[in-house]
Amino acid sequence: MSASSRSAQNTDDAATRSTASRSAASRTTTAAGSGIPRLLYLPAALGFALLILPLVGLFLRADWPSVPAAIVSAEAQSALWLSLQTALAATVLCLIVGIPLALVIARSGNRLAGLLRALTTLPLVMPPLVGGIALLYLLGRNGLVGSVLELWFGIRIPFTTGAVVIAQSFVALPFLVISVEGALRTAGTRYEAVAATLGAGRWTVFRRVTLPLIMPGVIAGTVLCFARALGEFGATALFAGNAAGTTRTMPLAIYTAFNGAGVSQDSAIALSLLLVVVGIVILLLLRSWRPTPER
Amino acid sequence: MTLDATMLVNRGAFTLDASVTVAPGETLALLGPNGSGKSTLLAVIAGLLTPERGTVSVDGRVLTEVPQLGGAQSGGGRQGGGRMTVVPAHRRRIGLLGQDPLLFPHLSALENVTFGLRSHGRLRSHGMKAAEARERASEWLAAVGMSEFAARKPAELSGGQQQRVAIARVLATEPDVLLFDEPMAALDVQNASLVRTLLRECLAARVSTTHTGIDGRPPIAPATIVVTHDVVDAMVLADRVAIMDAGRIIDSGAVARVLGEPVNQFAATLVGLNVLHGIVESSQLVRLADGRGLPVEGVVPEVGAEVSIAFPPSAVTLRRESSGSDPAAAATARPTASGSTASAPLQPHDWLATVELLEPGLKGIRVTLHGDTVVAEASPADLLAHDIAPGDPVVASVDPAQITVYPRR
Repeated sequence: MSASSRSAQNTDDAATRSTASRSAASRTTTAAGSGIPRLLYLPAALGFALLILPLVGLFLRADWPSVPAAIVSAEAQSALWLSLQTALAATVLCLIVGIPLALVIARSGNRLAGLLRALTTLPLVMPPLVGGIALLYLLGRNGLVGSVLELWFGIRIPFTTGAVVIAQSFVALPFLVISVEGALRTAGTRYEAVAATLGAGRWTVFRRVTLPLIMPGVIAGTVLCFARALGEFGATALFAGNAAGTTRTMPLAIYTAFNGAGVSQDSAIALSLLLVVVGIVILLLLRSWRPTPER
Repeated sequence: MTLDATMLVNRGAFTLDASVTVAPGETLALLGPNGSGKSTLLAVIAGLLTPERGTVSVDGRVLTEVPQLGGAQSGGGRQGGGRMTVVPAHRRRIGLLGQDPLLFPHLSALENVTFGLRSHGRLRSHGMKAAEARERASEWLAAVGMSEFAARKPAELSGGQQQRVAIARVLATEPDVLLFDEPMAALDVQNASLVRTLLRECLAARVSTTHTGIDGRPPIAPATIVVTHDVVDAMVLADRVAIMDAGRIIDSGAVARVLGEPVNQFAATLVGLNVLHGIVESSQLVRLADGRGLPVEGVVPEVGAEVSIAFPPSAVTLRRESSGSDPAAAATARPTASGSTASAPLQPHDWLATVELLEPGLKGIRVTLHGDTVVAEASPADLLAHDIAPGDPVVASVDPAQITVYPRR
């Protein structure tokens, strides 16, 4: 992307109301800087330290000579690969159901929207472990839906890779829905109304107006969603178990290694580092990606 | 295409109860202050709002039909009583241009115009082929003088430029009905003037004379409604004017008649005139309801007729009450814009008043009088010469030559 088209892209994004105010605000704060009361730098630094120092500790504690071996071990490779696959699948699943769900919430009346939003965000306030138990009771062999699935179709979901994807989707979906719904509310319905008066049917409006307008929100939501899915542990552990190769994702592999089942804590740290690095790389890739304008 | 619309909309304390008919090729200006229901009326016609009851039809094609006795929910559905029809906005062939251009921010100027052509179709389901649409869109951008900005994104265009693209975008779809909702309101004076002129040209050309219409059909002159609170828009763009107040149309007719002979104080204020009501006492005098007599000139209805009289604020001359006995004031007094001499002695039909407020007016300083609906306007020099300030007692008179007398409606 050339510099000029890049800047054009930025102004384009700025035109969508949501990002306009946000980017303008960030620009002024970075430019002026003096607008923040000095005292606030202290808690800000503390907060940053709380987030970053543990990671630094991880890096310092790492037994670097043994790191390469731990990372290229078959177990680590398999866990990483499974994590990436399931997190990606969960993210796609969340996009497919999450965008329409966000649309329904955003376009509902206030009370219904409030109710739907509260229910949608329930997994956020719930410990993932509880989510895992709930999923087990719903889709387990004796569960409400699980028993029917097994009886009629011979499908057994718990303790499969599919269960991992479902568990990850369960905890990650709220992030996507909240982000997309916010974007939808900011975008409003005025552009959609104009598109309709220009003769565009509902699908055309959704595809060519609504979706491009909320794209920054969709991307942000996707990033959060993927990150959450990649790091998911509790619900997966309960609902999908910890079977190497099928349900042992990176977080579970790290947990297993840390508990010293076969490998040392050093390898747990190495795996953690790998997950952190992979996570950062993916987030950076997603953030740098921008929707190309329709031609 | 003739537009017929009748509607009743309840929004809490506000009720819109209005009907409009616009002939093919005709432009109706809907004039009224903010909150008078103008935009709501357009929303009903455009299909963005379902009225409590009402009908919208274009050349007999029913677009909205909500029968009586139906507390319809917006969004549609069938009522128990009669059949309810609400054709969705995208199938109405009604173009809407608002105060905000609302160009799609992710599309270039050209793509914005192409958007309508591609999605719009007189054959409902499909619009134009891409290449054809782009060519047509380019022609429309040229028509509004925006060719060189075709590749620009809306964020890279000024407000006036955006509005011109928006005009091209709505006109390109060649709608049966064109609705303009204060299209100049968000623009600065210069841009507003440019856009107004452009709209006038487009409306005069009746939109599509240079084209053969979408799908090869001959172009049809649209019925147009321009909503505005600016009298200038009505004068420049419209064939007819309707004045709205609190959800009702209180007057409508030819531009000159509605603007020149306001039906009541509200309409008069809107067009910047004074209006008073009275009875013709003689061919030179109208007796007002409050007992005041105003000398008039020219054509006057028969004696005894109930009339309204209208005159611009600048026709009102004010001088200090003491001017007759104050030689200093008389000496400095100069002829005012209306031609009468300010130092003249109190005439039989002049009246006494107290200055209440001085405000910026259209052509000078607006002077409101205490306990009187009449508004005067004078240049700052005149006011200074007569030493007129708020609270001062003044003598007011009206230049008979500037008074229009017309039957009261």
